[in-house]
Amino acid sequence: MSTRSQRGRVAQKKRAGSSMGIFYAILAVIAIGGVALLATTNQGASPSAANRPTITTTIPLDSLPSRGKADAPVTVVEYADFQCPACGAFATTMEAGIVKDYVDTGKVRFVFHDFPLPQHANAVPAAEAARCAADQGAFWPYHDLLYAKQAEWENSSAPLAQFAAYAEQLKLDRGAFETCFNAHTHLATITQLYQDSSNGGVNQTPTFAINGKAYYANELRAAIDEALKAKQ
Amino acid sequence: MQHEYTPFSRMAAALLALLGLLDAAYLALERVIGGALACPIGGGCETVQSSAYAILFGVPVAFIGVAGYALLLAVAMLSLHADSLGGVPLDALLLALGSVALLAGIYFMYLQVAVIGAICFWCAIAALLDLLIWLAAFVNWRSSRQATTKLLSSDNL
Repeated sequence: MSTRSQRGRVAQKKRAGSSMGIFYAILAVIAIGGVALLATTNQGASPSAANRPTITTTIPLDSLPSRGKADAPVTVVEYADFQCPACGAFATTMEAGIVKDYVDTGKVRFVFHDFPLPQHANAVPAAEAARCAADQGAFWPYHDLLYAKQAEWENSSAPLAQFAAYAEQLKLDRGAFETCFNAHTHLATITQLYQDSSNGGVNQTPTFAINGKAYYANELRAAIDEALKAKQ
Repeated sequence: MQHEYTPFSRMAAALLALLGLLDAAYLALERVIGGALACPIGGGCETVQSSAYAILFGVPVAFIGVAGYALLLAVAMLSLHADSLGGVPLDALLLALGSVALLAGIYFMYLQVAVIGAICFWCAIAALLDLLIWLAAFVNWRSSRQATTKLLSSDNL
């Protein structure tokens, strides 16, 4: 053993021998507390309707883009932002399955409520573009395309180039689309929807409201099943 | 100025590395579970974590952070029980790793402020921890060197 090592040991034993126990105690407390915190942070909340966060809205749902039967037993309102990566993940991986199993079978009316988050610079333009596509009867195909191609336009400084190209891809009238977009025809509506989401208690996207209760993407199927069961 | 070669700076480095490990683990979990499922309102973390800079050599930075802090924690813990490992002085190894972590922390803070334009709270905490770990590793390295020098001179070598 080197002399330095011996010196270290002596110092350790003499001055800090008892502090090692305290050190390990603090280390253990931080480790256990930290792991416990991490475990609770990522725990999926129970989809049961009791104790769910409440979502309120003053917007008539009939004024919003929707798919599925108007008189379906359950209405799901998705609060989403076209630039949010999580909304993109939901739209590209889970939504088709939900539509196939619940919307196409007449069990669910699926409503889209814009909630463009302020940290996403192109979220409002994308929402406006989707409304311009909706004017030509193509909200959902355009919605699907915006999410599928999110990486293409999310950081664009002039996203109209991409947005207009998507309109063309869907065989929409590009001129009318661009006129609608440039005139900010739907900006007031989008702003109003943002305010409504914010005032209504939505604090993340995507959030799904069923009977005024908030659910998240991983709970959606279970929540729809529960709401359907309650209707029977 | 006389410095005793006490283990406190190594203990501090170990505790700070543990905090860093938990911080990085949280960001890594967010990336795997939460981050993929929600964009919280006003979330700088989500902007930073979903930016192209959150992936380095194909590996999410949060995962690299978990590995880095785990290594720092292991070396700091080891240095409380031994002075060297395979001929490598642990005080120097701890300072070297701490320096790499500090440079990484400075680089990622630069990216957040100057390039991405959003600050992620937990990433800023990680950078602060990097600085504190480096300070602890530096104090430890200097104390150990001074202890050696003192010992050598007292032995009249």
